[in-house]
Formats: sequence, structure tokens, C-alpha cells
Amino acid sequence: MIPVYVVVALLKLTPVLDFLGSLFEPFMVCFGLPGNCALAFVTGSIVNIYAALAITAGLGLTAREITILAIMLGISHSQIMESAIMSKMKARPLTVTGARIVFSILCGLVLNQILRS
Amino acid sequence: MMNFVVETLAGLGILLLKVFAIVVPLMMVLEISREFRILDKITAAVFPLARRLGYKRDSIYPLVAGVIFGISYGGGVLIGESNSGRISANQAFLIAIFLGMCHAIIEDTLLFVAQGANGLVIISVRLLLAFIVVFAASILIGEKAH
Repeated sequence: MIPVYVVVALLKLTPVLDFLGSLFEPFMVCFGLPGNCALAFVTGSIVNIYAALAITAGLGLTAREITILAIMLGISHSQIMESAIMSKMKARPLTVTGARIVFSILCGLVLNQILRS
Repeated sequence: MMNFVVETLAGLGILLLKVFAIVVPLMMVLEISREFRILDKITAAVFPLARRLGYKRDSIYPLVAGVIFGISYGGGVLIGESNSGRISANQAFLIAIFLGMCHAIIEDTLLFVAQGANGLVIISVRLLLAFIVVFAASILIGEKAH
């Protein structure tokens, strides 16, 4: 979490984050989120929620945005470590991981339609 | 340059304080609830509902552990119970698919509430989604209770 926060702080000095944000803007707008949330979602899905928090902390998101992102990340986070545990449970880890990604995206789409600000 | 260092350290400090203020008391509460066997009581309380979703009695304890403690923290319970022989592959899958949609429900929610999210919406959406997905999954794999 601390390294992620420091790296993001350093990247804010460069145009990299703005570039990534504008690149993902057309996708993230479907979830009612700004483009730079894409980095938080991908990092959180692969690493963990704390790494995602280190990114969202400085974004100045609204309550509605952070609620939608929280639900998407709540469904899809720490996928590598948690699918390792699912695999030890002999619980079809690939199916579960796939379902988490799909339902995370679906929830984001639906919530953006029904959630009031 | 100096400005950047001070601002970064201040922002990081605030974030770390928020996280510690949530995680440390939560861990204490979870440890205490372990001592008082709260999990056993919750397991008994949700049994009628869980059975309707297709869960067998032995699956409910690891399920409740995961929903409250999380997959990482409750991982020991989950793997131990799954390998105990009391839980079939289908039941392990039903546990995993519920937890995939909804686990560590207190910790995850509070972390985002500290950043301004609506906790009630987060918890209700994740629980509702988990119920729907498990209901569909248990029909698909033929574990539905009659």
C-alpha cells in the first residue's frame, strides 16, 4: 500500500496518469466513474483492496463514485491470492474468478443506471 | 521538491491512520467474537436460509467465516473444512462462489466508508448479488434442496 501510494504520487508529477485516465475514460464512463479509476480497479483486482485505496485516496471521488467503485472492487479484488485459496479448496477457481470479473462489471453498469447521487 | 515530499507524506499518513483506525479495532472484535464462539451462533441462525440456497449443514460454518472474516483471514478454516472430507466438491464450489461475490464484508465496507462511500448500499448489493448467483449456481450444478 505504501509503495503504491508513493509511486502514484510520483506519477502525478508526470502526464502518465492523465494519459491513462483519458485512455480509459470511454470505458469507465459506463460505470459512472472517471477514467483514472481504471488503474484503481485493475490494481485492486490483481493485488488487493489496500493497493486500490492508495490510488483512490488522492482522486477526490464523489460519494456515488466511491460507492460504485467499492462494490466493483468488493466483488473483484486480490484475484491471484484468493484464487490460490479457492484452488486449495478444490472449488473451481477459474469459474469463480471469471464470475467475479463478470459480475463486478455487470454491477458497475447496473448501479450507474439506478444509483442516485 | 520539499513541498512534494511533505504533501505526499501527509497524504500517506492520513490514509494509513484511517486504515489502522479501522483494521486494528476490527481485528480485536473478530478475535473476541472467536473467543465467544459467535460464529457458531450465527451459523445456527442462518441454517434455515442457507439450506434453501442448497448448502449442507457442514458447509455453513466455513461460509459464515469467509463472509465475516474474509477469504485470506478465514482461509485456514476454508481449506481445513474443504479437505476434511465432510464437504463435497459441489459444496466447496457453492461456498467459493458466494464468497467470490461477498466476503470480508465488514472490513471491505468500512475501508471505503472512510473515503465517503455509502456502506448500506455496498453491503446490500453484495449480499443480494451473492444470494442470486448462488441460487442460480446451485440449480445449475444440481445441489438445490427440495
